Amino acid sequence: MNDIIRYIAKRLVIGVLVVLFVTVLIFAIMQAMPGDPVDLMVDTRVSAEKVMEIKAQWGLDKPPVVQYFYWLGNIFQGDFGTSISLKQNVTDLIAQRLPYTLMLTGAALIIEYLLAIPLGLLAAVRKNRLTDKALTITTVVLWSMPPFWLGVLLMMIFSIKLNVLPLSGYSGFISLILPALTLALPALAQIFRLTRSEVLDVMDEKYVTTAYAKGIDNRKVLIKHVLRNALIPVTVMFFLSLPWLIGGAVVVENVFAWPGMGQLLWKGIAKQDFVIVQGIIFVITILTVICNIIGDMISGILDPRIRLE
Amino acid sequence: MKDKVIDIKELCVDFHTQGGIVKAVDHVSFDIRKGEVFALVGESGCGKSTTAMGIMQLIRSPGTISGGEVHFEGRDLLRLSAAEMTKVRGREIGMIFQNPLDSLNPVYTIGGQMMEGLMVEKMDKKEAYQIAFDMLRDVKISDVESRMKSYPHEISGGMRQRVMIGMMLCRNPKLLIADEPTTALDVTIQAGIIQLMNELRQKYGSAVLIITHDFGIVADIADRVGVMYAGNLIEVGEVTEIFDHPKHPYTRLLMKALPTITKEEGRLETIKGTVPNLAEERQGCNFADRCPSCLPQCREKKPVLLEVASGHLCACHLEEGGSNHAR
Repeated sequence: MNDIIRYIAKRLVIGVLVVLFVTVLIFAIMQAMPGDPVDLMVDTRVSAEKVMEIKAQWGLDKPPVVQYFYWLGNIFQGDFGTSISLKQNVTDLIAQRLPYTLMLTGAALIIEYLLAIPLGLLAAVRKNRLTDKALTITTVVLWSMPPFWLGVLLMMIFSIKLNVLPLSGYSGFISLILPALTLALPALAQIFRLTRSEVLDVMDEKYVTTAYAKGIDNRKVLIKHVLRNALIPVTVMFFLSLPWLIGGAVVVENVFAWPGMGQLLWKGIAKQDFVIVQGIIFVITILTVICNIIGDMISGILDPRIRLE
Repeated sequence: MKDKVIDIKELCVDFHTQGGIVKAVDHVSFDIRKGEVFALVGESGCGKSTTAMGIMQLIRSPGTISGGEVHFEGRDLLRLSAAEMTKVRGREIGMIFQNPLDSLNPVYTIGGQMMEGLMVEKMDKKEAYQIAFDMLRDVKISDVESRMKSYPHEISGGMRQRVMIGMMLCRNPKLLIADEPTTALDVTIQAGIIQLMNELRQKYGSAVLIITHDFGIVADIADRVGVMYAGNLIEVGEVTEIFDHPKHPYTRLLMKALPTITKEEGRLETIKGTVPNLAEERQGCNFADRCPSCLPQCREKKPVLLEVASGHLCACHLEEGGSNHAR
């Protein structure tokens, strides 16, 4: 038990260092980008003195290093600063939108894994037969569909032609279906392939032959011995892909006018609103670090050979 | 003659490969009697393990059992449904494998894996635990209580093989198949495992089919021995008979290739040539190309197993029509 606490503490320290490093990167990139946010705020007719005054008001007249520590200090007090384009507190903006993004990516992940794992197992059991080939081709076709195109296609079928699901925006749980499918279906191929190859690998293991030799029936061997071992890397993948999906959600949120963080990030980039962009990337970084730690711990629980050190 | 536990007749296992059909096991027939230890010997790839997997019907694609009969307890195992065969495995015929290091599932405890086989028969957990516990003690595992909770990676290879033996014996099968049970273990541990198997088969009365390429093990534990070459069973007999009067040229060469303390020869003999490609269709004896006393008919007709002495069978044209050849 002590080992586990020490392990988590160690991982957390490393995680904090990673986050700090990423903040430096984000800040440096935003500084290096062309364009001046103040130019977007004011008209070209405004005098140079007035511009300087506004810059001073936002703290943009100070050297970048000072600005960085100013920003970092505020973040650790829970203040992400004030958005230049929306003139609102970014902490509030993110807090409003983060739950929607987590809802969308969570639903997408669940759909993805609930479909991919049984299909992967089925394909492995029916290796090289028609079922396997049909599933492989289907998932590759889905994988090749860009989300913005698949999203529009689904909208056309289910919202316009059949008129059974809402077109866009958020109006309750039912609105979740189309954007979550748009996010999940292309991603299916990866987990499907991973499950299939892991199951095939495990089926070659000697302990599976042992299980059959013990007189365990086929279904139980597949679930208790094959799937149990094959799912270790798949489960770890689940946690590692969560932050990645949040990134992928940017496009889908825009297609479906989903009131999540991705849409906010999109607006921030378009308006050169570095406060929003920095804030959101910071949140994604923290989520990534947390998911990584959870993924490691889960693999330690699932596989007794892995010692948490 | 004592009762037969298992009677294998003309068993054939084919592997469908790109190079053609490989007859890995080609019309192999032998039987094992009650309480007996029967050893199958031969070099790597001769089909001895495949024969064992064929009996258990655990041959995996691209291999298939293409013919023969396996009589066990009055029925032909090859005619059973998949569900009926599942009931035979573990309960009536147990099997342990060559490499104990990866024969146990890494994510379950030793106790859990032993109890899993027992609980197939709707046994309650407490009873299964007790049987598994006693069995581990029988296979000479120390500190059984904590070992029950250990994972396979926490114990040594020799101990894992003991666990495997215990796991396969705890349901008291009539036949235990041991496929090279000591090959992957240190020499010092090998002797212990063989001794343990010998003790346990006396205690539990199981017949044993042991597959090995080690004549030392054959001499130690086996009552009868079958020699395989290139998918064919070429000689069967009592161990002492085969050791003292080997008939088949291959068995003789194999005996000469064994190092002994008494022989004062400088170099070990080797058998010249290589095993034929089993994917090629061929006539005659598979050993003809390497045989020092090959006759013209050896290349035309395949020899069949014939009794050359009481209980001693040999498949060789030299032994046909009275044994007036070199004795």
